[in-house]
Amino acid sequence: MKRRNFVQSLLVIPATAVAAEQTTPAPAPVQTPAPITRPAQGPAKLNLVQPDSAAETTTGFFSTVQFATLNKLAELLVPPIKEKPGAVDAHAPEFLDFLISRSPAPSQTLYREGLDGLNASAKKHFHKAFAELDAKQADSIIRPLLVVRAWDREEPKDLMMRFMAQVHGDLRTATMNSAEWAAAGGSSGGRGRFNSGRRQHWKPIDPRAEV
Amino acid sequence: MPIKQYDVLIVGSGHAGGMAAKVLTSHGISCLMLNAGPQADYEKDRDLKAAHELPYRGFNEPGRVPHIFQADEFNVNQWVDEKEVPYTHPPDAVYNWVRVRLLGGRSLFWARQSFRLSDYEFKAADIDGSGENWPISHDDLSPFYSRVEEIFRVTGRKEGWPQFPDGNFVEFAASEDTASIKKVTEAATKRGIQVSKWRNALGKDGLASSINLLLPDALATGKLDIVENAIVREVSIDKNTGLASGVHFIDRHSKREMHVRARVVVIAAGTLESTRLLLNSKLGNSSGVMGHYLVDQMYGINVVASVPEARDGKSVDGLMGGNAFMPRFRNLSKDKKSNFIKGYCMHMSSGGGANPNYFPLYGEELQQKLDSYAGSCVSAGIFGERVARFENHVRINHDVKDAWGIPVLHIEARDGENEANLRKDAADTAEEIFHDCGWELVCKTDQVNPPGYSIHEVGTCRMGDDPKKSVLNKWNQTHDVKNLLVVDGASFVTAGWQNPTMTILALSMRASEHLAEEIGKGNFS
Repeated sequence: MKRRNFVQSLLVIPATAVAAEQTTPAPAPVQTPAPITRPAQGPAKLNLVQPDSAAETTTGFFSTVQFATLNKLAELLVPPIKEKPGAVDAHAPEFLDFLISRSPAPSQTLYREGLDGLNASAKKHFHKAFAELDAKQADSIIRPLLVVRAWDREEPKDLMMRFMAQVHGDLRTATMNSAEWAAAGGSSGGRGRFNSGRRQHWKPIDPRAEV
Repeated sequence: MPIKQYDVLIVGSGHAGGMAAKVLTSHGISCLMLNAGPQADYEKDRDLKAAHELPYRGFNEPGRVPHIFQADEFNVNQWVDEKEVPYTHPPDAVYNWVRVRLLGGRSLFWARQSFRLSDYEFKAADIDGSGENWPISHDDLSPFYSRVEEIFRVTGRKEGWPQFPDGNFVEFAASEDTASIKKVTEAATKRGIQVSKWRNALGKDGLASSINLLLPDALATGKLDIVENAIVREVSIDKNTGLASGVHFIDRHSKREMHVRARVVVIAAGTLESTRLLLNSKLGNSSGVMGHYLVDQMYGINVVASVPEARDGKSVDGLMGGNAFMPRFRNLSKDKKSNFIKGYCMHMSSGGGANPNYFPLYGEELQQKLDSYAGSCVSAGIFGERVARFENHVRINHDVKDAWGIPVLHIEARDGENEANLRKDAADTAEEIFHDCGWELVCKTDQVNPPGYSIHEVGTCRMGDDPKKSVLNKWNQTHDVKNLLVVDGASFVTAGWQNPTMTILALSMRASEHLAEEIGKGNFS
């Protein structure tokens, strides 16, 4: 045992153990030499921070206009409510830019065509970009695209309705699973896939086979 | 070091393989178990994380396991990686094949619902004229169910209903139903629907798995050895006798090819992996039905009502919470005809909230609605039986191989008119019950997840007395090769609406005891 570890091990003897030693006769000294073993525990883990608290996600999958549309949707669909952050506060659009960039082609197409569709609709009805619409104008475009889905995997046939269902769910999840949400008070209140408290996570169990 | 000799090789370590090992070793029979994956270390392999601490904020790595709807970023590493062991399906017939290769297999993660099949399933052909009867009845399997229920500590309320056979239950901890569950029960009962409670395996220390209830006993006999990361490629045959002589397997990491010999080979790799192994071995299929009659249960129908007096935080103690369980109630008597055969169970759960997708709203308006409905909902879901059809099948796709060069499965399973009619009846019935309760219907769908989603896939090596119509005999031996057995869900003839685990365990126990007797008589020596 290195001296530093040995000193540390002396420092962490529990109070109960110390108390017990004071009332119990000392045991006979052990005659056999202590075997050479590695310390039971390595050094204490140091506290780290997550990259999100120190840096911004570099976006670039969506075009500037598409990203502005996504940001506007984030602002409207998941606004800050009471003490809870909204999707923009939780950097959900930036996260989705990353997530969709890694997603299979059908998801990428749905997002791109959906965002372009909203923008085209804004141009057609209001002669300006979706990102520049006021709340009432935007509502007139997005409300007809929202449908009741009794089952979260139910996919509307219409592309724009399908996109709205997808982006709405993704923005909500990205917000409620964010560090900002967790910092604002812990539980999701049943509004996200997970509450933001810690739960059991399986690490990679074995090296994955070479495919 | 001389290579050890084994009496029986067991491929797979889940409930089926674990039970085979427990029974056979208790008779002094030496066994070697091969498992395709590693043993999980519950201390080292798990930790506690918040979603925002994971690389994909809880969304999971896109495209990693696209067919496992149950996967999330917390549990993704427990499932079989679809890139390592892919499978194919027609573009218009998605199949969700959900697999675990860790030691203990899916017994590590099952939901522990513990039902027996009844003679409405074992003798279904007599009742509805569809398919074949099993070669055994509930009476044949009942003693084995009882012993399994004792090992797994199954709790349940005894009812005395023929479609819902009672078991050897540990004491049922009855608690008084809430007012909402009483109301549902009353409405269902008026419609002639019997209402009971879930039956679950308590197991031990919160786990009811092969690794804590079966394999420790087998290992304690000194008669079982287990090899992890052994991917079985093919069953080998003795050319002189025509009997199985052992298996070829590949080490998961090094890809070293190995062969092991035994007097008997017991396959328990989990329905479709068992069938894949036999198909790749070109064994046991003189009937031509191997791979066919793939069946599972429909999951997904969702009908939700809201109890008005429980909304806006006005609920009082004793109103919401709890559940009601309605075992199959359709087509139990021949004089009551419906536009479908077989049946479904319905389960109702009280006290949940509404999902955001139940409302075509967003922003603050949506949040107000969710807050208002929080805790006021009663939801109904079903587990519906699918009909076992020849055309729903698996076959080997020789064009695609897994990471170890083993040809993969092609899976084709589609629902038909019977499934559509059954689903509609289930959703309508739930709506009618909620209507009778005077509650507001929030949403209703009769849509279900793709086949396989239930993780209850069974069939493809069905048992039977006629070797021309079945792969296995009633003792789970292949008709073609008597020292080759399949003791898992592949042997099922029909799926029933019931979770299959108790039946898999009871069948494996029964087959293994018979095998032990045969070995004791000097057969297969």
